[in-house]
Amino acid sequence: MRQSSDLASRAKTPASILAVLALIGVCVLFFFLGKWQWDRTQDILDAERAATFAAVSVAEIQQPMNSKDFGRSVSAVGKFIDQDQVRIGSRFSPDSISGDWIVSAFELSSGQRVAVVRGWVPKGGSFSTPVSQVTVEGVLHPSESFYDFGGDQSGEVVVIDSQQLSELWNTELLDGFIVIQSQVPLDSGAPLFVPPTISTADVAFPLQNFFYAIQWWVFALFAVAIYIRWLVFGSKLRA
Amino acid sequence: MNKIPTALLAFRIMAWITGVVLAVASVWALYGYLFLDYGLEGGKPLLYSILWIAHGWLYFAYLIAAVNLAFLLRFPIFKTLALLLAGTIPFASFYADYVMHRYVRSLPAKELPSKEASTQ
Repeated sequence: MRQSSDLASRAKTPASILAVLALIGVCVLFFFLGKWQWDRTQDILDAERAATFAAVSVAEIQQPMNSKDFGRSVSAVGKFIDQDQVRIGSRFSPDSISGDWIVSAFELSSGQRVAVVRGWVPKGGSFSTPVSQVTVEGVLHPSESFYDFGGDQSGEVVVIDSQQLSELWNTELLDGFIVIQSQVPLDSGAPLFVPPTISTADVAFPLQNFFYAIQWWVFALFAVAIYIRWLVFGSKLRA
Repeated sequence: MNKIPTALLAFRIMAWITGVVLAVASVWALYGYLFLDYGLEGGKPLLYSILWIAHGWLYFAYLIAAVNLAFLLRFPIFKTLALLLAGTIPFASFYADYVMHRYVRSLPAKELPSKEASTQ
């Protein structure tokens, strides 16, 4: 009884009140750090789940694109817009030969447009574009805006970015772009399909993110434990 | 009973284990991000991830040992925080271990605070 009233009086000292405020700050901070790692874990798992699902129509993808849709299999029915095509140089073929990637606007039957990577051709090489309706399937990618180092003085397009392409072609585009993996019907002059740059299907379980989430929360509890020990230790000293 | 030598030994053990794991993981990370593609999703080997997770839990044990020692020595708050943070900076825990030993040795036997507290 004496000890508990002593503890209470010690908890009311200015130093102790400051310590409680710091403790609350630490707990809130650690909670959110843990939650951030937890959300990363969930995003990676969601993306993996989505990538293993059967292809969904690209029109069904939420706009603006969410990270859980990165790497997702999508399909589209419509046609390539012949005049809205661009070559992106210094890109690799499946056999690692440097050449051009052909990026085109693709118009869905609904009228919406999306950027697609049709595939690879040798540097400056020719290719054909079907005029009739085709069905394509591919992997959804976020815009490559992280590559943007502003080195396109010549007006040359170096990154695949839906925003930039939308300005270039003066047309509305859906977020991100599709790297085509199959096309029906396929004409003989079509560019060679390239493997997707990102793959979310076969990634390992995000162990690090998962455990970091738990560790942050354990550290928050530990901070509370230290505070209590500090109070008890101090009151024992006075006794 | 004087608890300081035991607390000091526990701290030394944790400082070295945590320190070695952190040093290996840090050098590995530096190498991986500079020369291999660890920056990409799924680019890291399993053992690497396990090492970092292990550091997290070892650091937890380090915290317990460090807080215990800091309380016994009546360290002020910022000195205590510095001691706790030493477990997160590569190679800092080895230095912390050296400093703590030097500090405890410099204490006159009768001034060891926990002795004073236990002989009330």
